Amino acid sequence: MLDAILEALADHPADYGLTMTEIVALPKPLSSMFRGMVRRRTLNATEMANILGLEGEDMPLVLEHMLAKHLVDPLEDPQTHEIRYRVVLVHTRHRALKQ
Amino acid sequence: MTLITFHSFRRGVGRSHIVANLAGLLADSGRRVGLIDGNLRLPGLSAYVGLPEPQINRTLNDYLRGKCEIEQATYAITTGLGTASLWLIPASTNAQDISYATRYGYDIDLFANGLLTIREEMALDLLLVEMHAGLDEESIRLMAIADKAAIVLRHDQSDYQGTAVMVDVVRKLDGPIPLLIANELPRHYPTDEAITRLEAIYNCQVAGVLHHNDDLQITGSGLFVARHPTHPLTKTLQRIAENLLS
Repeated sequence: MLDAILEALADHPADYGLTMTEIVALPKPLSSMFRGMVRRRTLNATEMANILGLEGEDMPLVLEHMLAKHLVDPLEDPQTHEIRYRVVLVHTRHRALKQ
Repeated sequence: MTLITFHSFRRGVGRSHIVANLAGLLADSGRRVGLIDGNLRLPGLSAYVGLPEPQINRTLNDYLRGKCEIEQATYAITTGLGTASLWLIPASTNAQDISYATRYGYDIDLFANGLLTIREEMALDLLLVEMHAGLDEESIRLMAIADKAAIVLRHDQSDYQGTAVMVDVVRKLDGPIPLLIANELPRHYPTDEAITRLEAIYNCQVAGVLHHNDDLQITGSGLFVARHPTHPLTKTLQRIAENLLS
């Protein structure tokens, strides 16, 4: 599962954020996780790991990739100091046409 | 609170008329209902619910451009249906505002945050949001946080194809329940047959079907269902309102 998730993240062509169309088109369970993030506004690492079916050290690795591609933003809960993650949504994506 | 978004693949399918009247009927059933005109490109809900333009100072556009709080763009509506509790957040009908929204879009996260604020401030039971026609980032984003996404379609082959795409997207979002409302069916088309056919095509619930009715051309201020409480169209809309919540 980890390899499939990392491969899907690597295949994502942009290096900043996701459009809703891209979220819908992502393979499961990545798509499910981002959709859950949109509906619930934020998820913590445990909630993300549960949706992705990951265990142990796998989730930090996936998070590292998502943060590097600016797909999620970490937010600290001011009361509990828990780190939660919000999907970085972009409105449109303009790509140069291939020559 | 239940959030229901209303969409259509094409323009001119009667979405605003249906949404406005359903909001009035749902408020008349004792629920606290919020109604948002999310169609910033072709606004019109204020006219359907009978909110006079001179009474509108602030709109959804002002909120989305940071000019006011969302509560300041909220108007209590006199529905003509007893003591119904209905509030409208209108979109601006000012040409410059429409042009700005069309050209630059808006911060959909701010829109979503506004929905949450208004839900809490007004202690709403139901929030209905009418979105613009078509499928884009804004409409998909709103669908994604909705409990139900109602798609209005006309009895027309090209609209059938576009609606299939929209239903498919709602399904892929894996959260909102897709619902269909068919409008402008030919008078001779039996209701049960139309519902059975639509359910077979789209494999989702059909909240109701509305037949073509010339009486809709009768202009007047305010909700059709308040002006014509015994009209067959009002009865059909009442059934659709019940189905929306079932």
